[in-house]
Amino acid sequence: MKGFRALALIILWDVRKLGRYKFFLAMRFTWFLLQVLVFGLIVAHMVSIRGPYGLLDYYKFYVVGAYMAVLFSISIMRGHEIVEELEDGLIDYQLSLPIERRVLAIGRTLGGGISSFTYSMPMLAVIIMVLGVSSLTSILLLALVSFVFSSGLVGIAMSVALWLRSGDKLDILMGISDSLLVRLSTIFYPIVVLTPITIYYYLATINPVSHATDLLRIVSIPEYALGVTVSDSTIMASYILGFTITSILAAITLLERRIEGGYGR
Amino acid sequence: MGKVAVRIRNLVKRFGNVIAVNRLNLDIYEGEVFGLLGPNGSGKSTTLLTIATVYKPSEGDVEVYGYSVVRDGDKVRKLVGIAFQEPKALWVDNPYEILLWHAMIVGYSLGDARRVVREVMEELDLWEHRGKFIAELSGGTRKKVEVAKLLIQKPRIAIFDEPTAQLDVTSKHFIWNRIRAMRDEGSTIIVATNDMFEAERLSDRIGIMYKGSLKALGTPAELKDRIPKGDVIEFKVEGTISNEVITMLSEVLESDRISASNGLIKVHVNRGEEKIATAIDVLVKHNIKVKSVSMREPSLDDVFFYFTGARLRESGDEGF
Repeated sequence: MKGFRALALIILWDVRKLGRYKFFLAMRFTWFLLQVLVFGLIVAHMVSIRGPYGLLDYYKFYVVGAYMAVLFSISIMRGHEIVEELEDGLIDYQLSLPIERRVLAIGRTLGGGISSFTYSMPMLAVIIMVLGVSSLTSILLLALVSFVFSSGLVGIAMSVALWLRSGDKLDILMGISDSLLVRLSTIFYPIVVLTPITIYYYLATINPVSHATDLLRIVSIPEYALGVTVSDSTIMASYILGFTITSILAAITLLERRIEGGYGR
Repeated sequence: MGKVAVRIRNLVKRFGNVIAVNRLNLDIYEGEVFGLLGPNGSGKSTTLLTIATVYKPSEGDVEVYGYSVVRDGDKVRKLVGIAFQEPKALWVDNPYEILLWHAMIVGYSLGDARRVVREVMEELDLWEHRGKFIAELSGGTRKKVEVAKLLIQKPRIAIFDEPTAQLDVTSKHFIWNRIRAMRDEGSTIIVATNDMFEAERLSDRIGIMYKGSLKALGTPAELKDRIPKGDVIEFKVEGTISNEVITMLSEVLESDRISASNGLIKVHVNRGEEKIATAIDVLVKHNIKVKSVSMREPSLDDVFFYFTGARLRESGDEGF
């Protein structure tokens, strides 16, 4: 079958499941609203950060970070869905279909990215309103960055899930990586305050989560471009694109060469 | 025999320290229904999943029309379709969505997919269940959804892993007829089963697998004939059964397993159907009146026992 048609159908596999997580999403959204409208305001009152060009509004900084934390978590959750599909034999089924494995890898990654981004859209809408982003270009850029980064995360989560083939192992690994990647990043701490802690600083600068979060900040609150992001916007955009392409290539390589069916084997 | 459709050479499949398939060599010919008979844990499903490229061989190779599952997986998948032992669907899926998506991914346009899915669902009495969650369906109905995938796909090599498990008798016969129809339309069929009646009813040839190895291969008749003195002929007679009669019968029937008591002579022979008439002549010549004659061929269970030393229903293990 033609590659693009197969790709569209594989993407549809993930997208058609969108309606299944209504309660989960409602819960996430409620929690996010609390985080942004209650905790964020309280924390912003307590925290004062001086950037190279004056004091930063930590509230604006915080809400973008909160959105990225949710996007990260939702994207990584796709790994659990993959394990569930492995357990139910759906991965075996997909591996048997008359399609190329690279199409399967790309399709599941993009489909997962679209789904995760779609799940996060209500939260992104809140951020856009709270930050007062009115430019259509900025809104589209926010969506694009979120989707591309989410796809990269999904590719990694999918590869790890297929590699580990166990829900328990995945829980442990994802728990650790969630803690490390979110905390060793600029999600909640500006890079300028991390500078004195050398290891922390370098880990945050190579962490793709930092690049994605700060890129969202540059797009949504341009005053943050003035020396408080891990890098300039072109480098961060290239970094995120490179991360996502690498993640998809890793998924393709795994599916073509290593991955086979069977849960827990 | 026709062209080789599936060639399995020195196939080994390990899961950790467990050897699920051990040095399997097998040719499956184009246009035949090949039955893979064995208990759970015998390596049938692992073999089928390797042919379908879901598993990768640990050693050896499988070729489908000359394409290797190791090197040419994408090409193999275009030729092979599989209906799994357990229906593959999430509990929130419904049969129509599952089959429509399947029809499209195997190449149908949306319009054709809708048409063929409806036809097959109606044929299998699935149409009334089209909007239900998979979790709401009975085991047999779920199984039909899985089988429907292959009836829609019509691949050149169609693999059915226990296609009629959990189905009622009427549905079993229907599925068997449809599988034979697929064969008649040009597909090569591979059926894994632990149901001897199904294997015998459906298969042109049967391979008996046990503990990861192929123990016997042939048509059902050939396999039965390979059991020494597997046919049992019973004569109900009137008259004196002397030692001379027993000796004569032993000679003409080429059997050393004869018993006689209470007017019943029981003889274990090879190719019994060819020897009944001669035996009756011997008895009549000795003034013994033959009231009735019956012959029982060995069952596939006897064949399985002969080649493996185990009874099929008692020898199950965890599934491979």
